[in-house]
Amino acid sequence: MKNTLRVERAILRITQAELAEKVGVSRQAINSIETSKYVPSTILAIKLAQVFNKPVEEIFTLEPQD
Amino acid sequence: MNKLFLLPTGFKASGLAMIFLGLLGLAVASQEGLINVYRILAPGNTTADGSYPYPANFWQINAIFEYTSIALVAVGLLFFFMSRERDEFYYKVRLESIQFAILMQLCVGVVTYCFFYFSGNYQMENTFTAILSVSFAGFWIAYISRYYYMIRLRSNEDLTL
Repeated sequence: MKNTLRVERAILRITQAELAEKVGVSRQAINSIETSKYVPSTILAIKLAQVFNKPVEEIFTLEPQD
Repeated sequence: MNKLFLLPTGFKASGLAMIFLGLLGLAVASQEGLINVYRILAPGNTTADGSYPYPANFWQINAIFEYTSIALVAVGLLFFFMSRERDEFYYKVRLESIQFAILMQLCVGVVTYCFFYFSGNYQMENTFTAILSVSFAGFWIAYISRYYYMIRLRSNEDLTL
């Protein structure tokens, strides 16, 4: 699963640490999600989408192998 | 496990410290190392023939020290494994690290067994404890290394905005 977290974060001009604080996880978690090493839970995905005020599927999209 | 039954995250670091201190204490106590500690603390306090005197209650103190160390390791393990992680990512890393460490423990155990078996200098029935100890150490080294590699290095690779 790929995501546009980095782009969305750049639009809002917030750091990984700031985003992590907003959704209540560690900065390492945000970093791993951005680099596609970790797929977040549904709850975390929805929280992230709420921060960017966009639907979840606009931020997280499935890849052919998923 | 229900997260309500888990200890706060802060217990993890103290648990790890307790495990290391307990293992250190156990190593000292099982080798009668308190005598060596005594030698360091009071180098000149010897008997007439130059040997170091055993206090009357030495073995009692050594046994208490050994049991305390074992208890410290047990409580440390409890703190370490029964405390909450910071978030779901840490839970995943922890699970993966345990899986990795179990595989490494098996590998280390097999390699150690092969070493003792093929070197031909050991009676295999006497190597059981050594194989267990080495593979147990392999588990912990692999677990801690993998955990911190995933948290500190792999999750810090790209920090650009």
